[in-house]
Amino acid sequence: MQVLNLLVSGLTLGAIYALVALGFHLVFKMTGIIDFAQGDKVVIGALIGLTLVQRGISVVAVVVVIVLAVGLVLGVLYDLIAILPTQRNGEIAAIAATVGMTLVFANGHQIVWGPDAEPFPSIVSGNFAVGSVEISYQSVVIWGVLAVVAVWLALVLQRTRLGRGMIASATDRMAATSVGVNVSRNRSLAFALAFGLAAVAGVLVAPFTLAGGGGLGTALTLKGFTAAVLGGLDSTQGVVVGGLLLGVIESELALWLPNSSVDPVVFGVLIVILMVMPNGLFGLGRQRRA
Amino acid sequence: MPNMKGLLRLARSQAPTAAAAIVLVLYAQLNGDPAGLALGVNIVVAAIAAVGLTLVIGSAGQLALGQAGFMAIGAYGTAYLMLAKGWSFVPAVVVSVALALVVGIVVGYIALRLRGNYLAMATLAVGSGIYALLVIPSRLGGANGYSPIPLPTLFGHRFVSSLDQYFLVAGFLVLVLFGARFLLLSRVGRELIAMRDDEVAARTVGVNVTVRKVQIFAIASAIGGLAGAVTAPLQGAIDPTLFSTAVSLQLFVMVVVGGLGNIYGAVLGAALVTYLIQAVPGSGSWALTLLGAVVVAFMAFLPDGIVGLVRLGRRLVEPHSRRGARTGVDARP
Amino acid sequence: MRRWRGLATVVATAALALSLSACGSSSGGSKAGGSTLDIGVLNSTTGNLGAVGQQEAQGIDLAVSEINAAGGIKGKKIKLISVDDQGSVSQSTAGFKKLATTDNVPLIIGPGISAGAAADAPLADRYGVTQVLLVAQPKVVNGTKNVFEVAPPGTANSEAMVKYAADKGAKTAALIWANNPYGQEGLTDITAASKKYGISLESQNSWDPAQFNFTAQAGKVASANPDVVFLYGAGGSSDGLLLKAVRAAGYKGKIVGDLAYSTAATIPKVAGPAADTVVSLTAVNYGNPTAAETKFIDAFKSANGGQVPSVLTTYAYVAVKMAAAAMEKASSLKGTDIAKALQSLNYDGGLVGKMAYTSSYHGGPGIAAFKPVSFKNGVYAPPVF
Repeated sequence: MQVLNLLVSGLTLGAIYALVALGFHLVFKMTGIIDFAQGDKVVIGALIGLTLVQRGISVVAVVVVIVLAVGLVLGVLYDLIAILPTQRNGEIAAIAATVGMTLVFANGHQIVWGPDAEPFPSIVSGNFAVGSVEISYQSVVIWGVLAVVAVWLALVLQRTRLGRGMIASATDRMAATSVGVNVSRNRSLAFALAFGLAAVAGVLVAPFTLAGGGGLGTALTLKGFTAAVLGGLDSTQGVVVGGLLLGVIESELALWLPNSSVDPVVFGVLIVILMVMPNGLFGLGRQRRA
Repeated sequence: MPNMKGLLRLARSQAPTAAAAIVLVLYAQLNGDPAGLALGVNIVVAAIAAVGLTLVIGSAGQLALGQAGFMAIGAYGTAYLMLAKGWSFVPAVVVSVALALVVGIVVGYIALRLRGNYLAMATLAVGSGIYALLVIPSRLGGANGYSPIPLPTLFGHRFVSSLDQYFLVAGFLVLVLFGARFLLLSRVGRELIAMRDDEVAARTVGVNVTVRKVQIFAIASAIGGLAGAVTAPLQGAIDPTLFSTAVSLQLFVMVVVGGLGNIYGAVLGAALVTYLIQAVPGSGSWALTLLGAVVVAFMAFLPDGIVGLVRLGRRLVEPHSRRGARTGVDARP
Repeated sequence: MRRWRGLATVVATAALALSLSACGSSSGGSKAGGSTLDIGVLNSTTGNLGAVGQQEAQGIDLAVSEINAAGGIKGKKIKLISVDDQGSVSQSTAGFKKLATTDNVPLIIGPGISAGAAADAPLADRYGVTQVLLVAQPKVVNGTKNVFEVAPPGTANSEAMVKYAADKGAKTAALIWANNPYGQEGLTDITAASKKYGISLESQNSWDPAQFNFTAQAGKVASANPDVVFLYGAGGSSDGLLLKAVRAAGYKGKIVGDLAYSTAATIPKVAGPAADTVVSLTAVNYGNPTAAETKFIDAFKSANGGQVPSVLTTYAYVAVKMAAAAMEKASSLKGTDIAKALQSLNYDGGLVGKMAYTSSYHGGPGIAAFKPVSFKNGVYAPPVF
């Protein structure tokens, strides 16, 4: 029975990782950049939501919509401040800039919202039982949002002209420009979407993770990236499966291992997987994007 | 007298190292109080680790982000050997640095098959994994830390005073700078730069790319281990927090802010970052937030770091300089 | 030209290093003869233990404002010089040296991290500064001349928890401990105390305060279904998540928490109804406070917008009050004289307990300091069992 319980909680945990991983995937696929601030964007989203709730907006669905809008705007600003001016100086410069933004977010939010995490209301509270396994409605919401976002993203990236243009701009900026792709606009759009997604994810997962707190952003970044790499940073489906798999593995491992050993084991497994399958479980082997 | 000539060339090539040594001495002259020297120790220890890291990131072009993990190996190794086994300082440092070197070879051999972002993640995972292992309760103290580590002794001299301690770590930094400079100006260094600029071309002219990458990664790990090894007995107590992922990222920031690939720049970066973290008034949150903003500003306006500032200044003074900017940062669009 | 490039870099290093140091050392200086009395605070208001450090800072601030309102110490107003060590040992030692030598303070409150305490204690004796730790580390303070602590040792907290459970008839137990300094000591101490009181400790699991999914730990406890579950918290909001998870997993028996489970600002807010089912063994008798405790709690509430002080806040408050009493009594305001006065002070301000220091014991009070308390509808109440 315990195994089933852990499976459900692992799937919820995995969905949280997958939402973060999708942000990594989106940015990487569209711009070729690894954004180290991805986990902290989730925390920022949750904290903005927290402020809205404290200001008296009691319908969490409304909070989600507002946070999405704010997240999209923040994403555009993020691109303007951190990516646009640094990307021309090379890939390492852009990555370093995202590390800088991580510091700004992770520490700045403690100045604004304090060092400790705060509880956050669910969109739908309560649980339902399937057999002896309790499932919270909020988990179902998270799974649903994950599914919708993943399908939508896969369609946009693979089936639309916009998505292909974006991938083209990430692969070869000059070539993309010469065939009429607006690289700058696409990059801005990619970061807007990534921040918006992260911010909404923050509000959705906050009932489980609490909003804010010192270590949450880094933990989500590490686990989200692990999930993305596990599934294959290039593949939308891969990233989702990687996230869910990581969550379930982590959750079930805790049954056999002392909890404090779970993280070292997970990181060890990641390195082994990277060795055997450098492009992840679902990576596109032929494309040399890594 | 070819020998004399070689010596002269060596002396000339090491002029910046000598200048760095002078600056380190000057610092102690101007900041002789224990607080200034304690800041100095923290700067120098960070600088040692950052010099190691810049060899990998800047010179070899490999994005490694787990340097704090290797510091931890050096620190815990030295602390364990000195406290539990009663070893004296020098053999404890030598063995723990060797341990960091061996782990570096293993990790390098595995991780360096990966490229770019995957390598970054794998090394970050190694660093986080080492941290997580150290937090587990064990004879190494777990989260409570490991103490009391005896003070270091060298040739019968015990390093008690702040000034002694500062000169001990400063001496190690000068040695590391000397060695790193020597390495970069040797054949190995030229091969590394060739690899960084065009790996395929380097391979075709006979550079054994994999071996070189693993070598440089292992050397960097050993230097990171040294940074940890010298700091542990000076602090008297260590805990895993000193070697967390946040510290790895700070070291990365030091390297890029200093100017990728420039070992003296890494020292500058370490000084700036350590100073900012310690000296910005108010809580650490303000300091780290400001540091993040500084990094973004540097990457936007001065991608060659503090070294780039120097170069910029020189270009203003001598507009006909033939040398263009030559840095580790890939400036291609 | 080439060889001058590196040189130029180094010259720039020099310029930077020297300008850094110039602004670094411009402040400070001894003010022994002034009208204010400088006291150092070395605390972790950011970093892993930031939440705990900020609770402690509130207690320190309240104590100082009360002392200054009452005329200060020997006619001098206290001025705090605070350093945030960010939870890092190397910054803790650097901060200690700055406070002890640049600012020349005779007394330093802190640090709040275990390894920092171990690293700083020898410095307190070397520089002749009195130090009152914000963390319970009897191993560190005993044997030093100038280092003291207010917080009762974790051993005493653990023993009080186990004894309480044993008195209530518990025979089997499980432990979930935070994988941080405090929780890891809890593992050692609860294990030892269980043996002493004849409780069979059937399982122990750790939890990571930076994580949020505790289904596995909670599930293990629920399926083992012992008479009592001991919880060791981390002092932050995640303590509440753990408690909630244990109840959500279907465990119906007794839960006994360490002092972290008496924090009003986190436990009821995060754990919801589950908060009302735990008994916390804590050094402030919130459920049935004495006159001195009520006075302190009310003063804190009015100074902090109705917020209730946590136990850690109280420790920090007592540390300052006790140090002030020692300074008042000391023959001079030199660090070593303050330490001498402190050792023979037998301070008892009606909070936490009597500080019975001897030349070989500088730790906080023992097991008697811990009282059981619960929450009812989110406010303090007498123990539920």
